[in-house]
Amino acid sequence: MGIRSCAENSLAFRELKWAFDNKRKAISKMMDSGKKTVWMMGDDVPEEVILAAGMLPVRLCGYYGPRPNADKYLEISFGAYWRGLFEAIMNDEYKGMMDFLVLSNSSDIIQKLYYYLLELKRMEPERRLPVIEYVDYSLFTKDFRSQEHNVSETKEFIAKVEGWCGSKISDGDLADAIKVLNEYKKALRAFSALRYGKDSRVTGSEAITAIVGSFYFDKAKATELIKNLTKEAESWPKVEAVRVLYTGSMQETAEVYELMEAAGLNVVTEDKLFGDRYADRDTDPTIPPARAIASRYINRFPSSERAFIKERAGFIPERIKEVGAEGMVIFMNHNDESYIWDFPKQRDVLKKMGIQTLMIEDQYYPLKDKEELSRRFASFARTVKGGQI
Amino acid sequence: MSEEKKYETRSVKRLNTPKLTSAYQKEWFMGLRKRIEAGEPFGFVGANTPMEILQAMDIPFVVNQWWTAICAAKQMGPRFYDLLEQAGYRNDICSYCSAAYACSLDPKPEEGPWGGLPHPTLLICAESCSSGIKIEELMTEAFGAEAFRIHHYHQDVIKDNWWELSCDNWEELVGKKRIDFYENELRLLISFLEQKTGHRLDLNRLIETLNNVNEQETYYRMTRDLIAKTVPAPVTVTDTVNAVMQAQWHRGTRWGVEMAKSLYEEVKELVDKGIPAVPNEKIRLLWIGRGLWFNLAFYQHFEEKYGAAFIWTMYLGIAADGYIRHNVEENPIRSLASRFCFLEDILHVPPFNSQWFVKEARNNQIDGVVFLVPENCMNNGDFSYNIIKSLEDAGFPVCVLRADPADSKKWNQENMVAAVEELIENRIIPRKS
Ligand code: SF4
Ligand code: SF4
Repeated sequence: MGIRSCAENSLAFRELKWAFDNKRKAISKMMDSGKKTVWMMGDDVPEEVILAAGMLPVRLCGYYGPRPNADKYLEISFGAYWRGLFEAIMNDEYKGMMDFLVLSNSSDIIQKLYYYLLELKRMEPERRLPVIEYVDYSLFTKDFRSQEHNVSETKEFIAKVEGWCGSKISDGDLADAIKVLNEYKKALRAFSALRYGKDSRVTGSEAITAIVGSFYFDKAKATELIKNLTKEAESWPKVEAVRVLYTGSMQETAEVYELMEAAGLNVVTEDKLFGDRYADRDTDPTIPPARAIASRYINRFPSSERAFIKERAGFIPERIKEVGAEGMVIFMNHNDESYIWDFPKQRDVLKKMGIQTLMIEDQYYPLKDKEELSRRFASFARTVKGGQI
Repeated sequence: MSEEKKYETRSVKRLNTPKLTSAYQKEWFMGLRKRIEAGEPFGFVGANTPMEILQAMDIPFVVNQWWTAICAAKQMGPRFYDLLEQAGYRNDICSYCSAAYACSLDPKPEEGPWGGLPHPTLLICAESCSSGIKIEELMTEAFGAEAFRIHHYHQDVIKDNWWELSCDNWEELVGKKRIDFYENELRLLISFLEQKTGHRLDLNRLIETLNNVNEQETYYRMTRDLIAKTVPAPVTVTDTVNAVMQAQWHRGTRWGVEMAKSLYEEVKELVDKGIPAVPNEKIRLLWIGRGLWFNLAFYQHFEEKYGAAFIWTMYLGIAADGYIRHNVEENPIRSLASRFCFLEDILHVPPFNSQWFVKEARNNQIDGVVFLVPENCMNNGDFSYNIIKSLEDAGFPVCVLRADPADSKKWNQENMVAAVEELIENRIIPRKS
């Protein structure tokens, strides 16, 4: 499987894949507009505000190459995914391209990275790190305290961005940005729907390539590309493989998905930002924008880093039913293993539904033992097909 | 019980106060069991939660991480962590925060330390890390308890030399926004406790408790300062860690004050009489990181051979610098909020941590630093690069030990001794001569 010729022959897919493979170039192209860039690290930076300010939101993706800065500055508790993000800020890949960098409270590690980067700015001013900001949404508990806090946090962020862009961001500006992003997410959801169920037409690696690739276009263009792609993909051949839900450490490249596909598995959804979670739910256009934005981030489907075990044990089976998955794969980088505390409860609920689970732990970048991984994926695919629990 | 040890794990006790605090702690725990059986509420709290409120409301409580320390000291870590593995979790991550949950899985709980941990009725957790919150969720369920979660936001005010502001200018140190929020959280917590337990918070009692805390911590400050300026040191960390941790648990009571005073007086007497802990003291070491509760003897291991004494850990250090808040009367809840929304930053947020360690190393006339980095804590991120660099730039060589501070089964005595010896022989002794 992997990326099939039907995808390769699609113009829209080719464009998206180009951006996926050449992020730096794609971002440079976006910067031709002359807009100031606001880079986003973490799942919960309110992109709507950046867009409304007439600035360019840029999703930070990790650096996949040697990571000497991460090795120098970060403790071993920072798993492979986090190391990649940090490296991308510290090395020359995006040098001179970052005006502002906003981190969000989407994981404990991002908060740590925020403090580290602030301190690095003090220690090593010659690095010229960008202006660094933090959006501290409360995401675990979704009670009234969190809701109130998140609305005021959104308002504060709006004020901060107004300072950056030098002009007022009106509710009208926010409403326009919300509309643009809702359109984009709607297009992504329609595309993802082709991944689900027995008639799944898209492989996981095609999906992640298209979704992530679309991050690196201006939103109107991204929406158009995804819509075109969806039309074409409707007639792609069905994917014959064991359908799984992916959770665990974020995958920003297609490498792991491709290994899974080669072993007879297909990721039909993931609860990750680089994937289906990005497009989860619209920002409500009928309520005041700051409140609508805050609500969206708190109500999106629960991430393992910021949700209770119980919530996840309810959500995962629901999602599995929704997308018609036959199994769940949880894949964790070394020391990015807080998922372990969720897992036994999820496994038990899924077992009752006749859904099998595979847990892979202790992974690194670059992957240390691909053969062993392939073997485990293949054996999981066989077990699911055999219907044994 | 764990397998036979090939090395000595029990430290030699030199002072009387730790014996008093240990005996009291055990007795208190036995009394606790009776109180709970009689239907009293029982709290289980994180080390970063404002226990003073429970203290003032007369709600007994056990501290999660300190319970881990007790399990570790009793060499019971391996037994509990294996229970976690059997339940589908892992026996090698988050050991520092999961011992109590593991106890709840024990088919023979009465075999735990001091007859085992009774089931708490209330859990109070301050949002710290995802795993910690999830473990607390599991505990809440396993114990059939009710939980209150204190929300916690990031520190956006970065100030140099925090310890110069913390006692009197804490508003300036912590920042209005953060403290406003945390104060409100504490008010909600108090209402929660009042409703759930039927106990009420008497504000006069809270003020009294907070004043006691200030008095208690002032004794720790005096003790820390005395150790810092006395060469050779009157005591080492093995003399102080238990005495401090156990009395901190009862922070705010008169007993806590008495124990802090007693520790100070004992140390003072040793200083007055000129009795050193390590008569051949040549090297003074500072320990950064969680205490090595299952192997306190490790701290004494280097005394005879090198005259190297561990004289500083965070337990006495934080007690001395981290807790005192003056102007309690004006708004006791706010002063308490200022303590707890900053407490963790002392250890985990740069440059608060690095600047403080350098200051403490200087004041304590330290020759070298041993830094324990927990291997199995996914939330471990103190920017240790910065801590090490700051210390080394200031002239304090640092050796890093990567280990699990709670699970004795994973400790490699030989390697750890070798690492510290390497520091002493190659990086400290040559400098001194
Ligand atoms: S990650 Fe660290 S702080 Fe968090 S629960 Fe685990 S051991 Fe405790
Ligand atoms: S202060 Fe640090 S070590 Fe102590 S309980 Fe909190 S996270 Fe754990």
